Amino acid sequence: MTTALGLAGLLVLLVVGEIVLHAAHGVPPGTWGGFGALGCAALVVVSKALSRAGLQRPERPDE
Amino acid sequence: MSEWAHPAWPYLAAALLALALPERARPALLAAPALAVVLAWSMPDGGTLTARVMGVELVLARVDALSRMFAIVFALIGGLAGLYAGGGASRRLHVAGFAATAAGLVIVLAGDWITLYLGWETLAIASFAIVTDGGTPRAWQAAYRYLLVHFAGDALLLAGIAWHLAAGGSGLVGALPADGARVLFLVAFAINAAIPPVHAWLTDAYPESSPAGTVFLSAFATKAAVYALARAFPGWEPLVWAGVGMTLYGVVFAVLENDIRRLLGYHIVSQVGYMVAGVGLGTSLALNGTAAHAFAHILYKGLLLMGAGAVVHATGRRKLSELGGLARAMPAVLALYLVGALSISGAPLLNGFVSKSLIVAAAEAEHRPVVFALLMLASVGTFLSVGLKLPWLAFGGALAHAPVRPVPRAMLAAMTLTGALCALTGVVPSLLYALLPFPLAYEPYTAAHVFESLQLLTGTALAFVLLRRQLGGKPAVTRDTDRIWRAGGAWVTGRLAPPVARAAVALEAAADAAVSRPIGPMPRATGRPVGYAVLLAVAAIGIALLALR
Repeated sequence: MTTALGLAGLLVLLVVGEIVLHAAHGVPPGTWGGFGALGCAALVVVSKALSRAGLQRPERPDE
Repeated sequence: MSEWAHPAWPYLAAALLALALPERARPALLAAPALAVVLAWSMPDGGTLTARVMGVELVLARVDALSRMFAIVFALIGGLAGLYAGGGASRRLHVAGFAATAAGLVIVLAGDWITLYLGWETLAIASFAIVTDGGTPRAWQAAYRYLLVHFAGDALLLAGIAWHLAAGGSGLVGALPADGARVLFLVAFAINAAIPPVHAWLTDAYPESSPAGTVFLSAFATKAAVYALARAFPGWEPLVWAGVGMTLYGVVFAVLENDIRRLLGYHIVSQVGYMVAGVGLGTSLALNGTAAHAFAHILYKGLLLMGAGAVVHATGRRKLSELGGLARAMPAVLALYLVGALSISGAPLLNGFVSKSLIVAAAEAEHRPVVFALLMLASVGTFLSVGLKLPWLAFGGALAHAPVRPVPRAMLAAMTLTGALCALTGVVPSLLYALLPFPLAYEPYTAAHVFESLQLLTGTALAFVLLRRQLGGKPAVTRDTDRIWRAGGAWVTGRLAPPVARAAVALEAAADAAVSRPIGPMPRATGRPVGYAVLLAVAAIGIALLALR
């Protein structure tokens, strides 16, 4: 429930912000929100790929 | 006699007094940072302090807007870290923390390379002592690794200075001619600035110190290096890419990291990357951005590490996989941490927004779209790990650790003050911009820029909500370039050191036998606590400052 509400709230913010940016400054809709969302996803994917490639190892009990 | 005094003076006095004062009297030492801030603020433009030491004319201080800006924020953070440490911190931390602050001030005010080197070396020794304040075997091991890496850098710097002077170069701090000495300077500065691959000393050592020790550590070494790069290498193109690489390297590793202070350490690498890129761009807007971002970063990073330190203090735990649900137990810490997190993420009304914008705008103004886009991407990664992942895992969900110790009032007071400074310089950017080295015609609070930033943060948050399960803290250790010298160190101590030690013992015994025949037995060297090493370094700076005229 909380997650759904959070998602809905963020979506509303995103859409309103993009409309304002487009109307007032001619920025194509979705430019910065999309950059943030896609950039976030890209960083997560890259990090996970590096982790699987051996950048991380399991912690030892004494660490 | 000069009409003004070096702002390192009060810190030097505080470091020496901390050696003698009992614990209950040490809060009185906070008068020193207040005096240092006043002294740094009131230094006259163009003012110099010189001294003749062993026949060499040293320019102990040369004031311009850039050095003043760094001096003010160094003087400020030393006091805030001292307040955060409170009366209960160890004597070692007070001595070494104030000595490190004094050394930082010596570096950013140094008019000549030799004075800068003296500060550089003292900072390494004081920082070593601060790392050992963690008090654990891991802290000591990390401290020795820190010292070895920094001594290597210091040796390169000294060699570079000697080469530069021998080749007839100017002894005054400034841009360097393109020769071999310049390479030595560059590597020495790169080590202190934590430019990959010579960065891992930072994420290795900083998390091992005490909570207050990490706050002291976060302020000086990397920013002193940024200052030195701005003096010696402005507009040097490779630094643009080194900086951009740092911003992304830091965020990728931070996304993976499980240790909260190590995660924040990677974000020091990332944020220093913005400053290094600014130095590389070299325009007045970019250099203003570097100076402003160094100022802002010292404050918001100090605040973030204060928040992480409060969590470590309250729970005794430092890993995201062992934390959770602290929002109810530590609401004030969470609120103040979020001020720092939003600031580093570039949220409007906070100082990170008004400083980072200058560097990004400089890249845009120079028609560098790739640099601009990658810096924006790093901003996304910053919000992802510092503003979303860390607070979600440490403060959200069910309480994973009980009981939670109360956070001392001194810690909260320091965090409140630091947060207030982040907000004040964010809401009234002219306070920050007035200190910049070059005239500035830039308005951060345009509707387009504010909405851009908000959209970037909202889009990142939206993706985080969808992907957060991928970011759960896992008990894993991230491999970084410190593996190289750890492996090398293991080989040296395991294979190389024993035969060398045996040979040294045999040589010493032979020398002892030869010498003791005419003059009797030689006294044996004894181990000295780290405090003595710090005291010696502090005394060396003190003697130099005493010779002021």
